[in-house]
Amino acid sequence: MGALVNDPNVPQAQVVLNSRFAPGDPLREMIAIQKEFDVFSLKHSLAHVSSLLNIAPPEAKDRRGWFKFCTYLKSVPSDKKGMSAHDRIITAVRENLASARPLPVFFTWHPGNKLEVSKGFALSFSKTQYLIISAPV
Amino acid sequence: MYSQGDTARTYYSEKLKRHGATARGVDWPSAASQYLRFVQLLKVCDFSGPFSINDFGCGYGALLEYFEFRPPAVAIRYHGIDISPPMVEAAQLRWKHDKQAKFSIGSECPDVADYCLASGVFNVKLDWPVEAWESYIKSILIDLCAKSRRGFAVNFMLPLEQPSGEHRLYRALPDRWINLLEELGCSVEQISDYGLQEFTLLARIPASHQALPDQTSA
Repeated sequence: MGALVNDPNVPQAQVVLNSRFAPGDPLREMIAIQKEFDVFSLKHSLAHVSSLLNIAPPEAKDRRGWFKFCTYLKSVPSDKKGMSAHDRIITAVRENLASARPLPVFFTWHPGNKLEVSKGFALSFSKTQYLIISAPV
Repeated sequence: MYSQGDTARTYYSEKLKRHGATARGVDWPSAASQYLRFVQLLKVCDFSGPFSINDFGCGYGALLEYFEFRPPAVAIRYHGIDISPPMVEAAQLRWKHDKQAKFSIGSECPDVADYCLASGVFNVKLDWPVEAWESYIKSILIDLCAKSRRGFAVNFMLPLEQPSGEHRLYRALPDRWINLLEELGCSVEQISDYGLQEFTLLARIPASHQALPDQTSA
């Protein structure tokens, strides 16, 4: 990740990502966008979705790196056998947004070699349950 | 004397300079949220046949971008109008390949079209007192009504559930503007609950008020 987006800007990218799936208005907006346009679909690449939703660092070089990272996730395994990290993110978010009680989504990182999706309390100070998507770095 | 239009011109010209011809350049968080607004605004249009549109406050022509994303089944004659000259320049450059698209600099629509749409043009009031900003909104709505043969659509931000101390954005409840549009002779439909903290008003011009058909319509 740090090779594609400048290290000091990675936390900022994470904030952008998480703020767009945060509880309340941001999550409501994301549900409505998904319902109307079906953006989280295996018909679209994560880089394309990211661009359409403007979920990327603001600086041009970091943006390019971010979109490369999205594409790189196609070669990264996930906790679902035979499914890439790229497709796992799309299907997990898609299923969540279409569910009867969609959860806010929290994106994070962990040392490892495969992407993991779980549900839990992403913020230790909060009782809000999140869909947690953790990418290996 | 510095007018509300000057405020809008300066504000959006600076946004464009900073972010370029993108959703951020016209102060929307993303293309997708902009498209979600277009979906609501375009509900005023009858897509059973060709029509013409005035896109007031067109920015860089994001509505045309939306039509590329989700192509309409009918021909649409498009006229984008924006108060910011750099914005219109950017739109002309962005859409120079589209011979059907026309752009003009202006603070009102120069011609009558079947429909007028205005997305987000009332939101950024900056330091204008509410009364002065509402008078500016009223003048735009009167112009949109006069320049629409069949109807027009606009959107407004709703007040926040928790007051934030932010006073530079204009937020309103629907009734104030529904009443005005009805006074102008329109039949008004309100759309809300589409995932954004705002509402859209679809104003249809009754047949008895409609101007003669435009012989040059698409």
